[in-house]
Amino acid sequence: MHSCSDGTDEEIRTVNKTQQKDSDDTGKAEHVRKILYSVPSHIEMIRLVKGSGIEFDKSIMNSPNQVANYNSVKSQAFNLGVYGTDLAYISIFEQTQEVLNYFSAIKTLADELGVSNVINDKNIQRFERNIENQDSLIVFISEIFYSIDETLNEDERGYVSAIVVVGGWLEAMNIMTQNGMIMTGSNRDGIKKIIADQRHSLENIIELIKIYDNDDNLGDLLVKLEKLNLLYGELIIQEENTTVNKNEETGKVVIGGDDKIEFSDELLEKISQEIDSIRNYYVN
Amino acid sequence: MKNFSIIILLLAFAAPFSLSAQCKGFTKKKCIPLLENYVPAENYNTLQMFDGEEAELYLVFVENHDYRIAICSHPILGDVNFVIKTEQGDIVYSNTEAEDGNIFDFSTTSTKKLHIIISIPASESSTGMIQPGCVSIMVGNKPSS
Repeated sequence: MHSCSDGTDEEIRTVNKTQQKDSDDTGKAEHVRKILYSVPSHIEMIRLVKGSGIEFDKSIMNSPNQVANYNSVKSQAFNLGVYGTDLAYISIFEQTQEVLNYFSAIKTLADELGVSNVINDKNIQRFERNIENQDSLIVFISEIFYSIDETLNEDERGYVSAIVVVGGWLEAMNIMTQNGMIMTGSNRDGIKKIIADQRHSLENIIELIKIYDNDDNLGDLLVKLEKLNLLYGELIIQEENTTVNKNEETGKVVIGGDDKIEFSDELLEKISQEIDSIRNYYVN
Repeated sequence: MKNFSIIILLLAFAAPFSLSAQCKGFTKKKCIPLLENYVPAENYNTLQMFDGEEAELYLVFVENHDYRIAICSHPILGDVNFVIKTEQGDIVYSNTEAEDGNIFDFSTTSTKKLHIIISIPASESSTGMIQPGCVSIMVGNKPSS
C-alpha cells in the first residue's frame, strides 16, 4: 500500500497523518511509527464470490470497450482496479473467451498511468501461453497487480495505487451485492455474511484514502466511502472474540470466530444501491 | 572545494532514489521467494526502516483461505521483531517466541482483521550514523486445502 520511500513527500505525509514521531534527547535515534493498510486482493474477493454460490453474469462487469472513455488519472486508476477484478472474475469462473479483452483494457490503462513497464512483451507472451490454465492465470494476475502497486508506490504515486485498490474492491462488492439482491434462502444469508464481513476492508480503505485526501484530491471519494461506512454502521453486530486454535492433524494455526450479525434485506438494498452509485460514478 | 560540495549535494539527492530501488530489488530477490506456492497478495508492503522504528500493518484475511505471512528484512537492521494481534489485542504470533521465526502459516475459517507490529530494536552504531534497511511484509494466499 505504501512504499519504501525514505523521507520523500509520501512517507512524510504518511508518518504525519498517522502516528507520533518521537525523538530522543540526542536527536540520533528516532522512534517513528509508520502505518499501512491492506485489503483482500482481487483473487481473494472473487474466490469469496464463487464460494457463495453466485453464478457468472457477464452483464455485471464493466465492458472493456469503455476503456477509451477514461481520460483522467482518477478514472483510469479506478477502472484499472475494476478491470482487475473483472479479469479475476472471468478467470476464476473459467470464462476464458473474455480474458484477452480484459487484459488488453488493463494494459491500456497501465500504459496511460505510466506503469507500462509492468506489462511487457515477455509477460504478455507468458499470459497468452497460460490463458487456459486457471492456476497460472491467477498467479499472473496477482503478480501484475503486485508489480503495479510496487511501481506506483516506488514512484511516489501511492494515491494512484490507493484508487486502484478502491476500484477493485468496489467492483467485487458490486458483484456480491447485486447478486445478493436476487439470491434467496441460505444462499442469501451466506452472501449477506460475506458482505457484512467486508466492513473490515472498508475501514482499511477509508484509512488508506485519508492518507492522501488533502493533497491528492481524493476528498470526493472519501466522502462517498464514508457514506457507505455509515450504512455499514446500521448492522447490528454482536462481536465474538477471534479464536486461535491449532489443528492437531496438520499442526497449522486456525483463526476463526464468527460475529453474530443482524443484516436486514432493507439494509442490503441500501448498501447495494450505494455501492452501485459509487462504482457507476467512476465507471460510466 | 566548490566541486566537492556539489558532489556531496548530488549524492544526498540521489541516495533516496538509490535506496528505494534497492528495496524493490531486495524484495523481488529475497522476499517474494519466501511465499513458495502461495499466491502473492497484490499489495506492496515494503518500507525503509531505521533502528528504533516501528511500523504497523492492518490486514484483512478472508474466510476459508490458507495464508503465509513472511517478514523479510535487510541484515543491516539486525533482529526485527514482529507480533500479530487480533482486533481485541490478543497475540496470535510473535517471532521471538516461535520456532519458525519470520514465517507464519495459518488458515482462516472466518474473515478477520489482524494487526501486525514490526519493531527494529534501537542500537548504537560505532560510527554514530544510522543506516536504513528495507523491510517487506509479504502475504501469500491460497484456498484452504
